[in-house]
Amino acid sequence: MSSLILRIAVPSPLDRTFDYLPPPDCDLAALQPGLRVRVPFGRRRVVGFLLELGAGTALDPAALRPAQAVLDTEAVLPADVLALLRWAQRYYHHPLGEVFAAALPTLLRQGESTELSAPAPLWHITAAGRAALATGPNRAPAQRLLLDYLARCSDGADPNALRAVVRDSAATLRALRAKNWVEPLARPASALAETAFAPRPPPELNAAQAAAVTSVAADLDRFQVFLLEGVTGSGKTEVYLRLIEAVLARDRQALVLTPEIGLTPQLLARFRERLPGPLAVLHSGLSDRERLNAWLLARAGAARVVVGTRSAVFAPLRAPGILIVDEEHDPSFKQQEGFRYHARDLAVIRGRQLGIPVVLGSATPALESRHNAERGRYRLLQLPERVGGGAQAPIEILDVRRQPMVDGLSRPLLERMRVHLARNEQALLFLNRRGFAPILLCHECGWLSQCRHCDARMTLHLRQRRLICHHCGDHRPVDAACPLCGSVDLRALGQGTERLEAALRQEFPDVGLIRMDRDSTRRRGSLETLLSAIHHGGRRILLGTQMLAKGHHFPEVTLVGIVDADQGLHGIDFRAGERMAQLILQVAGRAGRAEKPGAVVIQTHHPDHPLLRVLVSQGYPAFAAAALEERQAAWLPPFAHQALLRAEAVEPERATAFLQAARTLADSRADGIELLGPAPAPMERRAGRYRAHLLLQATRRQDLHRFLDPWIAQLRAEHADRRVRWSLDVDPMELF
Amino acid sequence: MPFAPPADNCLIIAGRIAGACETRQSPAGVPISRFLLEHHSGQMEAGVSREARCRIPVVACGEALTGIAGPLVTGARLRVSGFVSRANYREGEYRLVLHAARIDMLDHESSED
Repeated sequence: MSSLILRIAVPSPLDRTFDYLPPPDCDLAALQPGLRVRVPFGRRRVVGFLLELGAGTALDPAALRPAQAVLDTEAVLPADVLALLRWAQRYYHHPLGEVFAAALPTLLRQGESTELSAPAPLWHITAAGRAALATGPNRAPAQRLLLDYLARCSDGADPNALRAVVRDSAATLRALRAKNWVEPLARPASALAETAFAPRPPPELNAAQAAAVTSVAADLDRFQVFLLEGVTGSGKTEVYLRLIEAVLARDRQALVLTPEIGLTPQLLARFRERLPGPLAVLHSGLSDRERLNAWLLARAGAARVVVGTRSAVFAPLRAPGILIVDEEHDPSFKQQEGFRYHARDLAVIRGRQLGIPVVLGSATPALESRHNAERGRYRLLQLPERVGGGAQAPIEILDVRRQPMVDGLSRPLLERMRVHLARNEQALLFLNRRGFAPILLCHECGWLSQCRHCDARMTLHLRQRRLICHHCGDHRPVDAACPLCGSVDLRALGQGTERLEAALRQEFPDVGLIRMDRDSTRRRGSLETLLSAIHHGGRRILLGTQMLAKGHHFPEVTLVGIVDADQGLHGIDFRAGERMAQLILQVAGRAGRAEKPGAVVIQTHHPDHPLLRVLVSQGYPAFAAAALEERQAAWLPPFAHQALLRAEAVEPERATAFLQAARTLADSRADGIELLGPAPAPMERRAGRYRAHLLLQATRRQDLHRFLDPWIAQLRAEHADRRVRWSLDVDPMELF
Repeated sequence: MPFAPPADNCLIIAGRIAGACETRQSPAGVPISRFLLEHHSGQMEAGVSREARCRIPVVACGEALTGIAGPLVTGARLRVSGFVSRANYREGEYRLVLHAARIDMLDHESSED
């Protein structure tokens, strides 16, 4: 009997591997790291990950349990992803099993086979469908979009490809099929998801785009990070496409990461129109099966371009050639719970490990990335001009102090809207707060709609007639009378998008209005309907949250109004100003195009705020420089490296007591590290738990990590108080 | 609701509407009408007749009452009965509001002035 031991990463919060004996009837020679293994774990059976084959164990070999089955014959993850995961596990100090679980699609975590399922049939447009398309407008925009797409696919289209064209492609296909406008045909055996599509001719590059493409394309064989800073509309996507083409020409694959909100049907359609072969798309809106199929296509190298959100940074690639992170400043690249990794930072690490270029693109790069560019670690490529030569819309600060406001809108803003709408153009208003009003107030006694579980007010959603807590999700009907004094005179305080919509409908009764936020797009297909109405043109008011600000292109918009810039200027987080600047420019970027110059108006009670002034008069690079100076003076990232130990518990004192113990443990050996706290979180109670944190800060990253290793290990070993939930966040993006 | 045992709080007063009646909806959908009632009458005091004059804000909540109060215009005559309570809970402020429980329209003949 061999004493071969399997060291297995098991998805559990315990930060260690577990030793098992090989399954009884297993071919020992076939065992290698990277295989999935089903093992008994406590009373459950789980899918673990074989990390190492060892000869001995610290435990009594007789007490070891045998694994139940080896699920793979070859490593499920390629070596470079394994290396990336190991690096991430060390850097983020997160339990190994959970780190590995994050890299695998759900079905593989459940033990599903890695065989690609039989390819789905291809969809074709029928003669009746062509006739319907030719007769002009159809009331269902999603159906029209799909038909139009299919009409251009002479060999039919893969259902996965259609998913990118409209959101609920399955339902749309069903509807089209019921009308006999489309039909599914079994695909020819030769082609695996390969659809013929006449690529559109690429547009000409301007000088800056061409220079950016040349710089990166000259360096495709080694690791280098490029920071592509291009104003909105400067054609960053075209640069990506050219680089991807260059990489494909060398028979390599490209991985593109985008924020969830930026992964729009338009973006995918553009990729498909230009790039040959199947595109693997990975995001949370897919079914588990679709996600697994895309993942397997990427791993087999059949999909040569992989587009995905945050977790796609772990996507397996057969021949990786370039990593691209679009909107690299977007906060959604940071996972905010569980395994708290930053996908942009991991993309840089992965590029370094693979020896391939990494392109980080944004109109408003994160200050961390700009700092790296200034220090020469990243190469800065700038696209200062909009494609087609349209001027950047001028930004005007509108001082609303002492102005009479109607539901958050000042007279001058309304007048500006009237002018643009009279010219048959579109106006876009941005307010990053959904619902009707953030507070319900009793006019007689001053009672506020406090959430039972959080230190926060419940937001009034008038259409649903409910109060909803945006922090814990708790909801209840709107009170008919004040719970404190019984008065029925309750009033909505402050503005959300719903309230703005009501006010604008009253102000502009004969102008079409489209509100776009998470509430108005909850129903499947509703986003497509709204977008197609916007693109239909004509005068119209668009109103929405950041959902409207990101990713979409609205050529008819000539006026952009930022309803409330003050929220961001005075946020509690030190990144609030940076976030606000990025949002302002992103929203502003929607205004105007070559033949119709745009304008941007920002309503604020703080027209002299220094950072706002710099941003408006000198642009983002100057803003970033000023903000970086402030960060340096205050010893904040990127000039300091942070880690945040968070704790929460149902009882008020328990979290703080745990953090105090952690601090006591730390004090004696915290060389080169500053410990701040424990302090209550800015919102101390959330979802019924009291939260507190301890902030660690160091000038040198090594100091921080050298300290964290033993400290976290000791906390895990000695402070297993089940009543306290705690977690470590390395490079936290939010301090609550 | 923190109510003490029922205590007397009843005001019946007649007069004209001064200014317009404004009606809005509370977020829960309860209609709320507000108007100012102007009262002018002759009363007896210590055996002597005298003039009584005042203005008091009236709140009428709920469909039944706002249905009567909502369409009223300046000068309309009516009798309101209900209870009084302070207008808000700001410290040191004790302005009163009449919360209507019943509103009766009065015809012109019963006018005293």
